[in-house]
Amino acid sequence: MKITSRTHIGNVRASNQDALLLQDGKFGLYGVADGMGGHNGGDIASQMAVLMLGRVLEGAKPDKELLKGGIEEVNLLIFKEQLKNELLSGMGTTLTAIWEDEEKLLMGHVGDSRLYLIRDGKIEQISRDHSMVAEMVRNGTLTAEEAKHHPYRNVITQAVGTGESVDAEIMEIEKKRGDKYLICSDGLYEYISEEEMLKLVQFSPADHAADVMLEKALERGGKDNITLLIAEVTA
Amino acid sequence: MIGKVLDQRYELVEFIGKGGMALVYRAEDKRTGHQVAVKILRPEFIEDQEFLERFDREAQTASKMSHHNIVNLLDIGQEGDLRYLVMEYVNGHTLKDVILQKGALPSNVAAQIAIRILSALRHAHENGIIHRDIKSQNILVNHDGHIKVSDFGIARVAGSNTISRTDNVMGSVHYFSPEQAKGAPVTYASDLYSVGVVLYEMLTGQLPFDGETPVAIAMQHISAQAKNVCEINPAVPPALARVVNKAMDKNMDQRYQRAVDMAQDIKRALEEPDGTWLGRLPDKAVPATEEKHTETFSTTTKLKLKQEKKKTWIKGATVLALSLVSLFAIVFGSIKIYDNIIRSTEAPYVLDETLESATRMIEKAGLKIEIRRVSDDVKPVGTVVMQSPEYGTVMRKDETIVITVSTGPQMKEAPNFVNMSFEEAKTEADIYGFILLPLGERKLSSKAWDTVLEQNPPAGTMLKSGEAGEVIQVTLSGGSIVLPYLVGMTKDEALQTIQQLQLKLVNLIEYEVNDATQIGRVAAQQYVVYENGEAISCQVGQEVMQQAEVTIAVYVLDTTNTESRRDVPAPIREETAQ
Repeated sequence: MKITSRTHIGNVRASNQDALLLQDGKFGLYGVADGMGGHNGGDIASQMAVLMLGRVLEGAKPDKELLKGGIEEVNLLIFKEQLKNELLSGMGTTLTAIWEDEEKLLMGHVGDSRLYLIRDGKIEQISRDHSMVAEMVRNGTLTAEEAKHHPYRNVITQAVGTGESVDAEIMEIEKKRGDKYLICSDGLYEYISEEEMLKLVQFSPADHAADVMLEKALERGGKDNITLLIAEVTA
Repeated sequence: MIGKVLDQRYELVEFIGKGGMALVYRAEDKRTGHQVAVKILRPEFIEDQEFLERFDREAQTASKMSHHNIVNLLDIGQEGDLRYLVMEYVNGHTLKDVILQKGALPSNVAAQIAIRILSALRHAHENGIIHRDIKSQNILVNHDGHIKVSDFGIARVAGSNTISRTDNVMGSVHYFSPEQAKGAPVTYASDLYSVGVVLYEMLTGQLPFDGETPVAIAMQHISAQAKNVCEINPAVPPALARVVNKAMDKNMDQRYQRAVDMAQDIKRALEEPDGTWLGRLPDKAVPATEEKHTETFSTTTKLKLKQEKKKTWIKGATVLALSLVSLFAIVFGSIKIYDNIIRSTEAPYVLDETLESATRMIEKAGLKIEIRRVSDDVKPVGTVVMQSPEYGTVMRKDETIVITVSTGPQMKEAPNFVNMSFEEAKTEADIYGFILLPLGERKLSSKAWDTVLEQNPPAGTMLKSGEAGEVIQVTLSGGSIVLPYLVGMTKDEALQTIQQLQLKLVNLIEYEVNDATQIGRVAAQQYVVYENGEAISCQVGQEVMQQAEVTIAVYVLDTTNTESRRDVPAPIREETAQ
C-alpha cells in the first residue's frame, strides 16, 4: 500500500496530542491515535499506543485474535503507566489502525477516530464511533444531523488506557486494487464532510487530497489537532 | 504551592480539589482575614488559547452576578504563570453528599433548598445566564444551612475528547433536560427541568432515571416517564409532586418558564398540600423500562464522607432545618463583590442582517468578527443565518463573534471560470463554496500561464454549493513558448533568454576547449518537457509550455592541455549537429 499522512497541531491547541502509526514492512501497520487527558498525558498516551502496538505486532502475520490481544496489551500498559504517575492520571487515547497482508486488511478500532473506505465511487465509514452520540444515533434517539451539533459529541464511551480492559472492534476487509482508505482524527471530520473526502481522495493524488483536506480543516476552525492518513492499495 | 502568597494577598492554605481545567485551594485573604477559594488555571494550560478563553468566560459570567445563593467571584488575578479566580469559600458539603448520607430530605427542607436554588437561577436568568449544569453536585450546603449554587459559566464539555465514565459526565447526564440530551438549544426552562430533578432527588433520595451508561440515562430523559414522587415517598405532599412533574415535563413549553413561578408554586404547595389548585393531574407513573429504578448511584459520585464527619453533619442538619424553616431569618454575611472587573460587552443581535451591517454592529460592540458561509434555501445571499455566541452573551472586548452568512440556495449555477486566472477563479469559487480542483496536466495555450482553459462541469450546470460545495475541475494554461536556439550565444545572453522565456535551467555543463574565441559561449542545448510524468526531449523551434527544462553546455578553457581527460563530459550533440 502507498501511504500518505499529515498531522497538524491545529489553530488553538498548545500541543499535538495526535500520533501516527507508520510501520512499513511485509505486513504494513498504519493508524491514527488521538490522545486525551490533561497535562502531557494525552501526547504520551497516543505516542505510547502507536509505538507499542507497532512493537507488539512487529513481524507477525495479520490475525484477528492477535490484533485484539495486541490492543488489550497496549491498553494495559498505558493504564499501568498512569497508575504509576499521578501527573498522567486520566490519560487515554483513541486508536484506529489497519494491518495488511496480501489478501486482506484488518481494522482494530477503539474510540472516535475513523476509518473510511473509498471504493467504486463511494465512501463508507467502516469504524463505528465509540461515542455517546453515535450510540444514540444507532439506537434511534438522535438523528445524524442532531448528533453533529450535540455538545457532548466529544464524549467517547471507551478509550485505550483509561481502564483495565478495552473491547476493540476488529474487522476484516478484503483487499482490492484501487481501494483507498482514509484514517483520521475528529479534528479532520469535524470540518470535512464525507462528500468532500470522497471527491478529494477519489479523484486527486493522495498528496494533493491530504493537503487540501488539512488546509480546509484549518481554514474552517482547526480547533483540534488534525491527523489523517491515506492508504492506497496499489497491488 | 501551599504557603504561597498570590499578589501579596491570598495565602494558599490547603488543596481542596481539582477540575479538568483548574486546581482549587483554600486560602486566606490577608487583607480581610476571610477564607476564600482560589481557583488556579492549571499551569500547563496557560499557553492554550482554548482553555484561557474558557477560564476567562467563567470569570466574565461570574462577574456579572452577585447573589447570596451563588458562589460569588471576589477577585481575579495573574501572577507570573498563574491565572486565578478568587471565589467565596463555602465550608460544607455538596447537596449530593447530603442526600447520599441522609437519603430523602423532609419535604419542607427540600422545598426550602429548591426555593434558594431558584432564587439563584432567577438572578442568573435575569442576567441572561443559563447555568446548563444544575445538579446536586453543584449545590453547596454550608454548615449554617446556607445554599449556594456553584459552577456558573463553565464550558460544559471540552473541545477535546472526554471519556463518558468520568463522574462529571455521568453526574450531569442524570439531570439533563430532554433538549440537552438531544443536543438541542437550551433555554431557561432547561435549567428549571434540572431543578425539578434535584427536587425529585431530595424528596425521594433517588434519581428519576438511572442506568449503566450515559446513553441509557439520556434516552430516559427523552422518552421515559419517571415514577411519581409520592409512590416512592408517600410523605411528600401531592402538590409538591405535581410541581416536580410540571418542572420535568418533556415538553419545554409545558414547564415553568420562570424560576420565580416555580418557587411560588413550591411555597404554595407547602400551604395547600392537596395540590388540586395546580391544574394538571399528576401523571400516572408508567415505568418504560424495568431496570430503570433498580440501580441507584451505582456510577455516580462516590460517597466520600468519613464516619467521623457524620457527627458534624447531624449537628449541621439541625442548624440547617432551623435556619430553613425560618425563611427570612437568615442573616447573610456581608460579601464584597468586585464587579465590573472585566471590560465586557454584549453580543449584538445580527441575525438576518446583511454581512455589511452585521460587521458594523459587531465592530461597534468592540468585538472581532469571523465569517463562515453556508448555503441556505431561504435566507438571501449575504445575510446572517447564525451567530455564535448568541445574542446578549457577555463577552470580553476583542473577543470574536462567529457569524455564518448565507451563500443562497443549496444549488447554484456553476459560474464561468474560463479565461480567468486560477487565482481569480478560486476567489469566485470560494464565495459559493465550490471546490476548484486544477488537473495535474496543463495545456499548451497562447493564454497566459495559469489561465483557466476549460472547466468541468461547464458554466451554467446546477451544482451543490456552500458547505457541501461540489468540485469543479479546471484545466490550466501552461502558456506557450518557442524553444530558442542558444548555441553560439554568450553564457549571459543565454541565461537571460532562459529567464525571459521562463525556462527552467536544470543543469549547466562545462565543456573544455583550447579555442579562445569559443570560450564563454554556449556549445549545446537540450530541452525536456514532461507529459504524464514522462520526460520527452524537444527540438529547437518547437512550441511547448512554459517551464520546459533546459540543459546547456558552455565552453571553458581547457586548463590541463591533456587531450583525453576522462572526466570531461561528452558534448551534447543533437542540437549542434543540426
